[in-house]
Amino acid sequence: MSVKGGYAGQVLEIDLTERAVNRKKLSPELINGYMGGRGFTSRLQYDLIPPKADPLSPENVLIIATGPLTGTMAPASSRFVVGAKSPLTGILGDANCGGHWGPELKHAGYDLLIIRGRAPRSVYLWIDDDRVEIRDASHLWGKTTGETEKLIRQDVGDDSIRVASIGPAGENLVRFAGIVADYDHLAARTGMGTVMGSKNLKAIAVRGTRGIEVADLSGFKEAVEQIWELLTSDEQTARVLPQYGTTSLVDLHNSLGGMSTRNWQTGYFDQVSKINSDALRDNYLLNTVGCFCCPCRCDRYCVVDKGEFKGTRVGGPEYYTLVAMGSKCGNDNLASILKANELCNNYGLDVGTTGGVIAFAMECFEKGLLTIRDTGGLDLSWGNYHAILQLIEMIAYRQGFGNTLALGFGEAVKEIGPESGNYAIQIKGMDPPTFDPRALKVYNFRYAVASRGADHLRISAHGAYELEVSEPAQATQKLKFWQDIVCIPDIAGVCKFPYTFYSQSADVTMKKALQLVPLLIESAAGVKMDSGMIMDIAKRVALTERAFNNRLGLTAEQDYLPERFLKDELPSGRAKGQKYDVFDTMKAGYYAACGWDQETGVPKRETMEQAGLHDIAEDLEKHDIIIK
Amino acid sequence: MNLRVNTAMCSGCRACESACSLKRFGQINPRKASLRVRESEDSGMYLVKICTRCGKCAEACPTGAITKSSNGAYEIDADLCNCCKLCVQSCPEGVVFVHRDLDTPAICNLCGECVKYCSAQALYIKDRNE
Repeated sequence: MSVKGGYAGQVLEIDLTERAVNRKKLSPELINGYMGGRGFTSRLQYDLIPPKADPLSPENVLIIATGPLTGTMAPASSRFVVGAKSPLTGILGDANCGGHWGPELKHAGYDLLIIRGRAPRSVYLWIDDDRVEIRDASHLWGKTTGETEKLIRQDVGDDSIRVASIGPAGENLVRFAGIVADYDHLAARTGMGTVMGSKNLKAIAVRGTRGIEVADLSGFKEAVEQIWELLTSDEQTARVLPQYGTTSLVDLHNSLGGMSTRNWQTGYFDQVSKINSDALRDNYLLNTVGCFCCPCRCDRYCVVDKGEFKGTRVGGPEYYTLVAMGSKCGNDNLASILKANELCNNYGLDVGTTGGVIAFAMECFEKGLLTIRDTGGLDLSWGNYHAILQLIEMIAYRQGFGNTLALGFGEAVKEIGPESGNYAIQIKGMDPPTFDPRALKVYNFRYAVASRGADHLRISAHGAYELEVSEPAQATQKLKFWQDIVCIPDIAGVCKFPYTFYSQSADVTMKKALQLVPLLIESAAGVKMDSGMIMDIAKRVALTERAFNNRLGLTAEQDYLPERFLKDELPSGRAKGQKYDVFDTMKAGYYAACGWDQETGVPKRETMEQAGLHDIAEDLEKHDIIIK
Repeated sequence: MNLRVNTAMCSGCRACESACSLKRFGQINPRKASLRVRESEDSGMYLVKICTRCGKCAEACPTGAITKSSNGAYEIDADLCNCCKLCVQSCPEGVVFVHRDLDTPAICNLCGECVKYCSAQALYIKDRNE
């Protein structure tokens, strides 16, 4: 089928080694098979990145994709996805980002950027509609992300352009560096900023003046109106998201006994009232901020105007930050958490993994595996926020003990010693976010099998909370169903918070994902789309990601939960006494629901064929991966 | 019709810009919007520039192409406009604009579509009799 709108229709390919810029037509096969966004980054990672490529070598390919709804005025149509082989995990990497940069790229005329090679010296890209320049970035190297954005706007002489950049962490190849767009929006996870740093690419600046057409103007306006009306009348998206952003999850997770506290030693933080959404609103909230065309406005903007951290200004925090730099590190000083957030944004660090490795180091310190001699004088006692802040800087610049943590859990355990492995709470090299699997066992099984390491966003649907009351066998079927639903915003180019996570009920979520998103795509792109077609694409994306990881040697053994969750009972909170005792049942049920072989963890032949992935099945066999 | 804005309430989502261009030109293009949202010097806050009906564009127009219509908006007569862009330069809010797709500059026609999509309620219509 040929598209008539929604998509810009063009791919921009840049080879930094050759200083070459090429434009190609977006292929109909890619559109039909994978729709956009994460669908594009996943398939192109499979096709373009050689399995043996070192993630930090010029062979790795950085893929940046929008979806058919990105920048279209569909509500929350801000999203773009960055994909590459991850330098943190060594498997599939991707990170999803809001703000305004993705829409600007689309308005400049591009759905996709494919960036290869490595520039001999630091450069930035200037994409001004049809004009694309690879510019010298020597004056930007070493600058923070905020400084970089300001300087590029000055270079170009236009303060309405959009910039996505890396900070010192990405330049220094810290393995969990993110890409920062519009000052405070991060493509945070799996080290996509590190890949940019390895390519000597400091930033991508864009000005798009071409705009986007839609195929059926009146149909599109009607669809937008319908979903706008729904989002601005549903309690969750009309009140909870604008009023609290994601920070209301802090109290929710703590009340369920699952808020990661002191490196997952417990799921209940007794000082929660000092770092929750009320404390934030009462003391530091300046404004609520909305990404492109989003009525839900869940971003916070906070200012600290008194005390030790006076002068801190930050777009954030998310609930994740409040946990990662707060309870997970035993820290109840909210102003210091905002400062930590500001530092991570400026240095271009994923605040999640940064908090994860610091909490790990703090537990090693508690257990005597690290002393102040090892840490260069830092007292890593729980809650020592001065040490947390100093360590963030030391990680970004890879100084002293910061360098031990900057390479991720695996290298840190090698350095500190094998016993420290017990406290490295990670799966496939990435830390789980905030919510203890012992407190919500069905839902949080997701960490064990997510395609980019211990991730929560592959299955983050409101309806999935209700699965706790189901029998495991039924629950896993439904978990897989929600996984496919949650993929829909990722491939369409909209945000999963208003579309799949925040809803009054599971029925409302399904209406948005399965009826309204297809309606928006049909009217924007002028193609046939329905609930069955969009679910088929979502399933194909998940299988392609699994196959990418299988081709790299990933097997069923790498789908695990850390020992702490399996063996230690939660010592306090509502889930006190619980440990993760349903792992084998969940794993067997989930594999069956996905059509993966129980022994190898590779999708079965019939599963691949049903999804139309004969080519990938054949390719896996060529790489000696057994498909049953 | 009297379009007003309370910039302190703006959350910077720019749905107003897209709504404007979609209604007026049938395309999503914030650079074809008759109002503009910018980050303020104090990050975290926004500046919203709208047409205030000050009439500077009409005063600056050397051909008399810009006149006030019955709803209070200024409009450009394409037959009289020579596209000298003096109206663009004279606009103190920077919201009279030119775009390569358009034959003449464009000025807000007070259709109110931006208000409809302002979920932060920063944009509003004030009755002229109030």
